[in-house]
Amino acid sequence: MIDDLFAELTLQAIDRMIAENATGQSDHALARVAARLTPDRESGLFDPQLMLRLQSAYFSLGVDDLAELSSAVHEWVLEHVAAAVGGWTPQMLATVVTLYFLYPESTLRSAVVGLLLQVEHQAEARERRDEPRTVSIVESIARDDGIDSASRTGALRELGDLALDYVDVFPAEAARSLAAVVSAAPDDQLRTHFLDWADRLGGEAGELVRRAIV
Amino acid sequence: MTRTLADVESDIRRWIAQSGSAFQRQFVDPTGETWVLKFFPPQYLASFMQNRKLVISVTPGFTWGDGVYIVPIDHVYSAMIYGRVGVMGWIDQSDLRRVYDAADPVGLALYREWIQFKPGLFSLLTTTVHAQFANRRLRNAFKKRFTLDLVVFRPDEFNRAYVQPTSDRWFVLSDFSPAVSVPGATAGFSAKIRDCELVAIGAEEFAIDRGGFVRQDLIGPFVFAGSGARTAASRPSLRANLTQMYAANRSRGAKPPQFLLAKP
Repeated sequence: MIDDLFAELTLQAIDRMIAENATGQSDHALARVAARLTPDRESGLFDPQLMLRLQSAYFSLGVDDLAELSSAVHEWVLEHVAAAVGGWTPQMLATVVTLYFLYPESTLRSAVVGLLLQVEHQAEARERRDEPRTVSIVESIARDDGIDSASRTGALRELGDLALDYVDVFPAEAARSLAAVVSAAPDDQLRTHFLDWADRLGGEAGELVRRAIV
Repeated sequence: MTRTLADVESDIRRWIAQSGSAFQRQFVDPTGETWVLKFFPPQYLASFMQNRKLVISVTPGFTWGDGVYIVPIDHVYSAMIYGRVGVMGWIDQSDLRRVYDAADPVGLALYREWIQFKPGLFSLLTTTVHAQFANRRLRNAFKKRFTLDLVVFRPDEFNRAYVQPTSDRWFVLSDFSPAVSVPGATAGFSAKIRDCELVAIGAEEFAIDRGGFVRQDLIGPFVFAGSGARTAASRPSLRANLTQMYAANRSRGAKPPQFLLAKP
């Protein structure tokens, strides 16, 4: 249950507007909500207090509460509200990692991986971490006793594929994630898979991937 | 021999250069402006009149991802199927440095080739029910990768009295925040379509058909029944009238805006 009434009603409204907006009827309304909650150069509608309130309520939700919201709402939050987060606390990052496992086979996973790579990229100048931000996901998959070896390899490959999607945007961070994925794999299948991808990519991106996993 | 991503991207960069030259010839006025219009439902007119900015659409399922969906002034009828309120503005050449022609089969083929190098999203696109979400992310990623300011594409929603599917062109203007790297992180209102003014009110009412791709006009076919086929191609140019309304409204001061009444 979301305690903060403003946050609850806002997330409900976003969910409804996204669902209704297949024909563009809620475009304007969605834009106004986004302009209120996200730093916006043009409208002058941005209210940082509202954004902080929504952030605070959202990132304190437990897994059951997060599961009450649609994947479309989570993607919206990650893109619009989280984009304005100044400093990421461990609790906030834990929420993001939880989202990865909430809706398998959805684009929310892509949004989560992209956000973790972006956080790592932005933090790079301030603090050098030995591990990529996606390592929490890698470890969760590697430690999951409930899946067999083939499923584990499949889950790691999916994570690696999603990281590979971002190799043009966050090259160093995507490469570090791929290295973590390959290291956690029980055999050489994934190394072969991503070496094949390095060949297909060619150029600098291919070389980067190859260096990360060889 | 299979082409690498590096090969495909090299071709895409060449296509962007060609697209820019063609766009310049077709859609940029001698004075350097590209005049565009958007039509939207009347319930958002009050909000528009407050800030005179157009909305950046972020809806999954829109043809070319996030951005401002507009039409060039000479293809204005095709936009009327989206609402009664017609707004006009202009884009400066400095905001149109990189254009991509996705109306041409070459541009479409290159895009289709490129997305196959995104294994995570391509898998979601082709094997899950979340295709429109994956499409949105792929199209945004493509536009970000090549810093595309504008994509030209063919209409993909129809009405025979308003839309000429083969010759009309629609635009989506990127308005990505430079501070945000993750594709898809756009919000609010566009800074790139300048000096927007209300210029037209449409009198027609449209209903979306069950398939979702045809917008049926509910008034015109019955008011003008028996007067011959109403087609988009047979309609007169509105360029001069729209330009006149726009100029008048730019200098109207506190007076109410003038607008063209677009008959069914």
